[in-house]
Amino acid sequence: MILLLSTIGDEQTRNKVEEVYRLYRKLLYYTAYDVLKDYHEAEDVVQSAIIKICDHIHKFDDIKCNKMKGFLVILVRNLAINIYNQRKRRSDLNMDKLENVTNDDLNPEQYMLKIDNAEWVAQKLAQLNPEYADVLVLRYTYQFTIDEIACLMNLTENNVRVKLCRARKALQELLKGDYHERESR
Amino acid sequence: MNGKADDKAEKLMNAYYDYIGDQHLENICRDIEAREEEISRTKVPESLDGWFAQFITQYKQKQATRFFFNRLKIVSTKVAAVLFVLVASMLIVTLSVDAIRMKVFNLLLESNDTYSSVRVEEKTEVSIEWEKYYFPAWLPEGFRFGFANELKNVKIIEFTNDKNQFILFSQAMNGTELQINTEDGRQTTVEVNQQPAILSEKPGENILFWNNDEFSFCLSSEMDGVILIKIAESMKKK
Repeated sequence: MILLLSTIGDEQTRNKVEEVYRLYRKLLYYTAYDVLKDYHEAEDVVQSAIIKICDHIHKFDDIKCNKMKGFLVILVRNLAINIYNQRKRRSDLNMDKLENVTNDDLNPEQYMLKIDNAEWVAQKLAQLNPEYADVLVLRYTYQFTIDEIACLMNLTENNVRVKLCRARKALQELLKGDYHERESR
Repeated sequence: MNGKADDKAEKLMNAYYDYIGDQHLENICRDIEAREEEISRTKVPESLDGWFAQFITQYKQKQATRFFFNRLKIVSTKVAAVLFVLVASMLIVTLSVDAIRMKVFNLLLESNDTYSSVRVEEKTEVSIEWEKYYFPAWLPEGFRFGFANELKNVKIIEFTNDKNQFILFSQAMNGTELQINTEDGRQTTVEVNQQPAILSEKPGENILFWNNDEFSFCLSSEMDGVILIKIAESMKKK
């Protein structure tokens, strides 16, 4: 009986992967192609993403929810950006923009005052550098560990830490700007 | 105090980042919805579908193998536990047989003021390898098996105690001659298990002689005649 129940449970996990592919293959392919503009590379990215999804699919109870959809887009987009960067061997200009961010931290209360502005902040952060917003989501919303994020995004753990740090600093800068804008009004 | 405040601030910040993350996800989903038509028009290459079909087959096989080994691990643990219980119970049953219990290890515990010493002493109980013989089920307190010997069809067992007293028990098939020194002894007829027996009493040595359908027996000791009769009545065939 235990064997039978375990088989059913395992079968469900396997079906989940198939269901994800059936539901989201167009979205995955579209997202990858949107970044890379190359059919073959987009295909490679989708394949890598599917392989990576298998290890984390059990964390999602409902594969039709926005959280699953968002996760897939973030995963494919970042894998695609990695390949794009490798191809062009270009440095990330947006990252450089933030190198000289000051350490004049906002305190938590100041952050909380801006909570009604979160949608705008998230949008601005994604515009500034989508990778920052993505890494922030994976760490704080999906609760992935640094190690897991590194594995998902084909990055080193150090690289993930740097991206997270920069994401937080970028967020501070955005909030300070918004804060000053409002004060000057 | 500062540590606590820092912890709280960190928790607040994590909650804030989580909230920003949620908003980011909502923005992504809104963006997907806006491009829904474009996405639905996307043609996924057949080669990708082919790759996935192959991948999922291999993935299923891998999962099935992993699942099988996981099950095997769990089942083998249970089987090992059952086997252990089985072997242990068989061992207990085996050790409870008299023949195996011939050698008993007595655990002697000696207490001292500063320490306790423990030693295991091998105590030889009965080491008789005869096929058929009688052995007393009861002996006076302090008596234990000394030795056993067979001389011309007469089996002799000696029991001794710490005071160097002894009880000599001889047995032989009916018809075998048993020589008993009854010189200067007072002979009386007594009963052993409702069967007539002869008790010879003299200072320092009492002898009891009796028989059954198969064997003739003789008990010789300085112990009282009543004790000898009690020993005789406790005889059990081995």
